[in-house]
Amino acid sequence: MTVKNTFNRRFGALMGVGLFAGTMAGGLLPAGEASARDEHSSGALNCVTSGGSRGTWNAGYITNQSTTSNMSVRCPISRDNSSTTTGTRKIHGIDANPNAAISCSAYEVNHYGTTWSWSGWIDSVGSGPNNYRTFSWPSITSRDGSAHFYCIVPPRHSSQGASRISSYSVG
Amino acid sequence: MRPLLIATVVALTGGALFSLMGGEEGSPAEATEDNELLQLRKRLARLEGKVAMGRSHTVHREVIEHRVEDPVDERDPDDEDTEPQDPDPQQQEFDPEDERDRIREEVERIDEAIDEDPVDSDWAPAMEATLDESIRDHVGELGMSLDMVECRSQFCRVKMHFDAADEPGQFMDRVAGADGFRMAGEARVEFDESGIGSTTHIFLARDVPDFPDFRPPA
Repeated sequence: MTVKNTFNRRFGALMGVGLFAGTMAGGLLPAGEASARDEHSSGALNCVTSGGSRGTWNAGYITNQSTTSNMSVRCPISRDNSSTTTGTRKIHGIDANPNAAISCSAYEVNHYGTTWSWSGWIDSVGSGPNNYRTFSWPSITSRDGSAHFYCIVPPRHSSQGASRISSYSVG
Repeated sequence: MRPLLIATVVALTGGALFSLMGGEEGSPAEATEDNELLQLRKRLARLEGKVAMGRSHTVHREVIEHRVEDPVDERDPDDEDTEPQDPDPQQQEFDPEDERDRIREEVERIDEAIDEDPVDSDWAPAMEATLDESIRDHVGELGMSLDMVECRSQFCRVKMHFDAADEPGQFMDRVAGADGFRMAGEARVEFDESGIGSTTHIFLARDVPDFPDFRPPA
């Protein structure tokens, strides 16, 4: 038997043991409890925009580069179907414009888009490039469809720079 | 001596080369044996080929037989009276009539709760005016008739009819975040039987992060 064959046989045996152990652990762990505590985070690069002028950056955030128009931002939430609650819903950004706020709401939609709900809208306060803001809503019973955040990002300020949406999470 | 040696070497080398080039025909008996061997090899190759083709045909026939077992819809696609023989259950999941019934039940449940909500005479009229103004500011060219704008103390409700199927979604996007519609809310689009026109029910709740869940417990 060659060295290669010996390696393959031993590696295959190890893989088999690993797969067996993983399968057993996956079957025995309480998956529902684990998923309910999980927090799902996403960068704002997932978000889709309309209006304004989207800036997309390798640092994972998006900005409104327009100096005149608002930008609508919709960020899809990835949820765990095994959980009956949404978990705390949070979206993070920086409101740089002293003359206009970032406004956000959290949406829940049924499968066919014939029934949907939205949280009370929240405005950011303060302004400037260090005005870090987190918009947060408590956990609610999730619907059977999908969920997303909807934010309106104001125009870029001439000296304070562009407001941004950075990331979001549920859980 | 030397000429003899040279002649011997030349003769041996030439014979060997002739043999390698196939010039040596051998005896008639050896040629017959070679021919028979060659014929046997060709016959064996043909037999192996037939066996391989036979296997291929077998697999192909199995595939065909499997396909034949699948249900075939032989209905005339233009014949609307023919019921589907074996409908795809995934296509049966959404029944528009069931969806309309479900939405009506949910709307009734929320309407009953709002009917019980006392009227805040300071807040309600002002909020009704705000909602009415926002609606008119954002409806634009959409074919809408406004049937109700009513506020109590904790809730408001707006009912409107749209002429086209995609107008409720357009309108709701326009008023999202507008004055009055910044409250937590729910929208339900109850399409009529044509699936084109619709009544859109909008419910709003005051001073809460999310609209209360009026669904029956699962």
